[in-house]
This record gives sequence, structure tokens and C-alpha cells, in this order.
Amino acid sequence: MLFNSYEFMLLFLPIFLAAYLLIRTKIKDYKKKESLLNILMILGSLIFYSLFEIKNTVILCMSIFLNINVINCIRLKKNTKIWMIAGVAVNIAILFFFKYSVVYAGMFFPVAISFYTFNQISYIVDLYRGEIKEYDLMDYLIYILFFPKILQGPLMGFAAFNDGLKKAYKDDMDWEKLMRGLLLLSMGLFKKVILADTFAKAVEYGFSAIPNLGRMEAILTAVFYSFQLYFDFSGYCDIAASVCMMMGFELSLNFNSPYKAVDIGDFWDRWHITLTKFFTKYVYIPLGGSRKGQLRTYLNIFFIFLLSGIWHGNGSTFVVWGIMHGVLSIITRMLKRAKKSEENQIVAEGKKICGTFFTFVYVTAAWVFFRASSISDALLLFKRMFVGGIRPFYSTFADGFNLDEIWYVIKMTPLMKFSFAWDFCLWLFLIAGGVIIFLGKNAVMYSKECKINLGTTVLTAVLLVWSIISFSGVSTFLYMNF
Amino acid sequence: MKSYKKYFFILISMVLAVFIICGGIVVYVDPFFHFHTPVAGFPYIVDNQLSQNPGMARNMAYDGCIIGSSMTVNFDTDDFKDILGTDTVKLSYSGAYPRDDYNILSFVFDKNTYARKQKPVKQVYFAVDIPTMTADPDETKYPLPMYLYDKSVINDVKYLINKDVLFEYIFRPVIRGKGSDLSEIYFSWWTPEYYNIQWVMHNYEQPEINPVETEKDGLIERTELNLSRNILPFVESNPDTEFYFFFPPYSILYWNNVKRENTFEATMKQYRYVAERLLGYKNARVFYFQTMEETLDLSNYADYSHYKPAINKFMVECFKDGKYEIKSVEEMDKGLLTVRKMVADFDYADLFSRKW
Repeated sequence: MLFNSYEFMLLFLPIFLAAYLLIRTKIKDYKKKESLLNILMILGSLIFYSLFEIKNTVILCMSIFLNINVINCIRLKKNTKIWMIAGVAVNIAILFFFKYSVVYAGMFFPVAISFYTFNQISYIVDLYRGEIKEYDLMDYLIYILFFPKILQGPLMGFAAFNDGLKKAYKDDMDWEKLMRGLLLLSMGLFKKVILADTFAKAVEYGFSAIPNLGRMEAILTAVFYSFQLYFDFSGYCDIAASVCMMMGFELSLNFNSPYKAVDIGDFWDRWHITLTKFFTKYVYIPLGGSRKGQLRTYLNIFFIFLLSGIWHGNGSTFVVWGIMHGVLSIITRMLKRAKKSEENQIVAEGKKICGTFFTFVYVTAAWVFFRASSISDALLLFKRMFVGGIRPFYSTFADGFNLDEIWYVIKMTPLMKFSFAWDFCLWLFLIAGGVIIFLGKNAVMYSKECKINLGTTVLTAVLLVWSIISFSGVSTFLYMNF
Repeated sequence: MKSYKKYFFILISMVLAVFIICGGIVVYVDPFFHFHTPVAGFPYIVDNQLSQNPGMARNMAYDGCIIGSSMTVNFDTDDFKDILGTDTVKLSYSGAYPRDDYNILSFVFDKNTYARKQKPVKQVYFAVDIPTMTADPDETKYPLPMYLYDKSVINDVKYLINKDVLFEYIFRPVIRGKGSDLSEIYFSWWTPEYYNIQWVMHNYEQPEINPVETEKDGLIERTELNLSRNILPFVESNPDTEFYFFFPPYSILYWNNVKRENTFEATMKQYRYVAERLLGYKNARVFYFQTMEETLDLSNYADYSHYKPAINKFMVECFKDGKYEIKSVEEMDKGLLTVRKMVADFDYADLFSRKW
């Protein structure tokens, strides 16, 4: 089940939340309450996940069965290191098997296997290291299955997740958290359904018609993809966080206004934060981190980004993406080591702005490789940015932005007298997206700090309604001849 | 805490109120005719075969229907009224596979619908596209909006709270004040100037030559499956309905495709097989338009298969006077022989040697 579906928003989520809050507030005996809430969490999550094709659930159950056996072996306190290593290796092998069998054998790729496999690895290693004090089957199952985070994270450690959840079990009904959660939910949906999916139409066209793109179309295709990716993924994470907020606990922050980053290191402290932490804790530090000299540190950094590229997808384009980030991270680290002089405030501010601009441009260039179907396609897109010529946008490129609800209003204004009116919505989205990304407050922070009043209530209602009525378009023909 | 609770209920009330108003408007106007017959005077826009055909099949008054692919979209239902005297509804699916035909015929012959309670179906005009008879019998050409095809009430929410339905099919026609002319719905975008040999040849791409010839019986198994599962059950269970099955007149370029794909003999056999099976039913009439002289003139076409609207009108006249009707397998063999000769005599080399 997807978050941006009628089934989730109008059926699953209200029923799940009502049941959760009812059990939490009405049952006073904690043991009984905990058992019931645990069952609700597992059942709800299984229903949520099983609404994808059932073969996904079979693979998930097999992964759980396998890892429970590994966990039990580690708990026996004999050869624990061997069992831990074997468990990690088997999980990675399964992940690679599915990742590469998709390419070479045309097999299906189980939904969310990357994320729940990383959670399995995290659990096994933490258990081995003694960071998990007590194993409980129900707690483990909830950690792996929990529906808000199973599909795309965030990748939280077990201890933080479980402590937060158990603390929330004890809470009473909290209307404030419910309202703030709904505000965050509406912002997450808006980012995903209205912003990301609208940018996606132009991006889809741009990447499918690279040889025909004009200069501006090529540049905007790259920029729009940066916007789409951020709004899509952070929108998803906002929705996941909002569900947990309504349940009374917090998920780890995954996006902290990443395009405001002043350098690439700062970017990775803000983008997919939990993945960065995962790689740091389970790969970078075991490899020696920054403790074994400069050269080794740079090699470790490079390896982490290479690994991240391979994890993100098959093919050389993802490797190039990883290398680009690795190389700039190393150069940035070298420059930071070299320059430690004091600067006056104006120079520092200027550097920050330039740094933000350069980081965004570089990250956007790297995303082109992330999205393109081949390295030559990506290079061709860059080429079109210089040789594409100046010409009006193709209607297919700009039309996706002309959402009926905005376009009808524009048609009634004097703007229609001007030729630029046809592209007005495109520029409107670009500016709105840019303002949210570069000047706006992070959605999670905003929902926690803003004053809840009639204004924010109306804003929540508008964003919710606007997003939900946009879930289901009307299927149209792609068959253009007739 | 009290104010948060108050704002929570204000929020839920606002959201529910908007959903109820949106849903109410959609139920009342019902632009896809999912719940009821058209509201008198509302300027309905009908341009979406996938979404609007099921509703039209269920909730419009008609005693004849047009079934088939893009070969049927240029029929004018007024011609059926004038020439054949039937109130006909067009239920075309561009690129239709036999499963698409099955789906829509299931609605047409559903006795519990408003349409069937008004009138029985007297005639079905069915375009048999030979190339699609080898499709997977359970596959539709495009994914269907199932909420308009199944009987579940719960998933109707996708129709009721749907921005596109509200804006494109309710607000837009209200603002424009003009709906679709139902007799001409789904007409192709090709205006008359597109029907010329220059346009056809400029856009035509010859398929790759297949060196391996398909066996003569190679297409029969799938064709039989599609006939017996998706088409013939309706002919058998509705003996009072007259089915006009017709093989549309693709241009001579179609046969060039068939030859290059090395399925010529298999296709000939397939045509014969389908005709033979259909002729076995008293309530089925079969028309073979492939022998029309017009197929040799590419100025009657906009591509290798799609003919101009005048040919659609001509076919309606044939349904009336029986021209091009096949009444026996022997007549079908004669027709196929004629096509063989037309293909053999046509100067493809000259056609492809010219610059277009």
C-alpha cells in the first residue's frame, strides 16, 4: 500500500490510528496494553505490506525467519562473531542476488528489500555489540515490519526506535501531537503529490527526449529532477514521521533542508541522514574511519560513496554518481584541513552563499547520472545545456505544470494576453519549489514549532484536500493516433 | 489542550465537508455515467474510452452498439440511425484486444442495467481485427480503471474524490457550455488533409524481414482461444441479437507488413478460420471488406491501416444492402483469393522506389 493512495489515507490510516489511540487511552493495565498494541502494530504492518504482491510478503517472511535463527545463534553466546558475520553476509548476499537478478535474469525486485535488509543487519550487529540489551520477538518484528518506515526508512537503530515506541505506549491522548502530526502529514502529501509528481512529468519528458532538448529545457530538466527527488523522498519521510508523531513518538530526521548545504559534507549531514549514519556506523568506522591516517581516511570516504552508489541501483551511472560524491567529499575535506584562517562575517556569508550554489549545482549534475539510463545519455544532456539553442519550450515539457486548478485561474486573468502565460505555471512551480527548498523551514521543524491556530488548521485542510483529490487521475490513452 | 481538540474537529469537519460536496457533485452529474443516465441539459464531454464506455453501455438507451478498435472510431452513429434504423452507441477501444471486447460486451448484455431494461440489443457491429486475435485472451490493451468496471462500491471513492473528474469533466464543460456530439465521439484527430499518400508513405516504416515463416496453423490456437473465450459466448447466449462481424479494409501496405513478417499464409488461414467459426451461427453476419478496390489507393488512408470516415459510412451502407457480405466458407475462399491476387499484382517496388 502506498501512502499516496485512497486506501491508505481514507481507510487504513484512520482505522489504525483510531484503534491505536483507543487501546492506548482506554486500557490501563500496561502489560495488557503493550501486548494489544504490539499485536496491532504487527498486524497493521503486515496488512500494509501484503497489499503489494503477495510474493513480496513471502520474501519478507523468509528474511525474518532466517534472521531470527541468526539472532538465536548469537544469543547462545557461542561463536557470536562468526554468527554475526555470517548473518550480515547472508543478508548482503540476498540483497545482491535480487538486485542483480533483476538486471540479468529479469526477476522481480521485492518491495523495500534494501531497507529491511539494512534494518536486519543493524539489528544483528547491535545485538552482537551488546547495544540491544534484551531480545524480544515482538519488539524485533515491530522494528522490521513497522509500516511507516518499512518502505523507505528512515534507517533507525533498534534501541532508539524501541525506546521511543515504548515510551509512547505509556502516554495519554495528546491532541496537540495529533494536530501537529496532521499538519506534517498534509505537508508531506503536498510535497509528494502536488510538487514531486508535477516536476516528474517534465523530468520524464526531458530524459526521454534528450537529443531534442533546447538549452533551457536541458538545464531545467536537471534542476527539476533535483527538486523532484527531494520533494518525493522527503515528502515520504514527512508522512512517515507524521504518522509516528500522531502515535506519540518521533522517527529519526532523514532530511534537514539538504539543498541549503554549504558544502558536500554538509549536504550528506542533511540528505538521507539515517543512511549516512548507517554507513558511518557499520562500514566507515569498522574500516578505521579517520583514525588510520589521511590516505586511509580518504580511501574509506571514497569506498563509502562507491558502496552507496552500488546500493542505490544497478549500472555504471550509479557508480559514477557515487564516485562524483566521493571525489568532491575528499577534495572538500582536504581544503578544510588546509584553510583554518579567520574570516570576517561578510566574507563568510558570501562564501556560504557561493558554497550553497556550487553544492546545489554539483549535486544536481550528479543526480543527472543517477537518473539517466546510460552515461552517454547523461553526457548528452550536459551537452544540450550548451548546444541546445534558445527556443520556446516543447508543450509536453511545460504542459505538465498547467494543473487545472491553477491554469483555469490564469486563463481568467489578463496574463493570457501575453505569450509567456503558457509557461507561467512552469516558472511558478520553479519559484515555489526554490523558495521552499532554499528559504523555507524544514517541514518537520515547522510542524513542531508553529503555532496551531485557525490559520494552520485551514492550511492543513487545504493541503490535505488538494493532495487527496489529486491521487487518482483519469486514465487516458497514450495511443496518440486514435 | 482543549483548543487542539477543537482545531482537530474543525479540520476533520472541513475535510469531510469538501469531500462530501465533491462527491455529491460527481454523483449528481455523473460524467462517466457510472451511477445513472445523463442529466438532461448537461453538456457532457465524452472523450475517454476507458472511463466512459462502461457507463455508456449500462446507462444509455440504445438497441445497437459498435464494438472494436480504432477501426470503428470514425463511424457516425447518425448513419446507423438513418440507414439501418438503430439507436447505436459507440463503444470503441483504440487498439482493443479481444479481452476489451469481452469486457464491454459483458456490460452491454448485463440484464440488470438501465440500458437493457429499456431496450434489448438488436444489433452488434463488431470489427474483427485479425492481428489482435492472437493477443493473450486475458489481457487488455491498457490498464483499466477498475473502479468503473467492478461492482465494489468502496473503490468508487476514486471516482467521487477525483480532481480530473471535477475539473475536466464537470467544470470545463460547464464553463464551455458545450458538450460532445455523441454521434461523433472518439473521432480520430486526423482531419481530411491527412488522408493522402504523401502523409502515409512519409510516416510508414517497413517492419524488419523475418526469415522464418510462421507455420500455416501457427496463429490458430490463440485465435481459437480468443474466439471461444471472449467473443462467441455472447453470440451463443444472445440468439435474438444480430451480430455484424466485419473484417476492416486495411490498406495494401498492411499486406506488405504481413509478408515481411512472414505470416502471409498463416494470416490467410486465420481469416478463413475466423470466418468459418462465425458463419456457424445463425445470428452472425460476416463482412469481408479487405477486397475493396479502395485498399489499393493510399490516399484513402492516414497510415497503413486507418481509413477515412467516408469508408466507415460506406460500410454502414453495406450492412444494409449486403455488399461484401460473406455467406459461406467458399465465398470467403474466393475473397481471400482476390486478396492474394491484389497483393501479387500490386507494384510495391514502384511505391517504395519513390521519394515521399
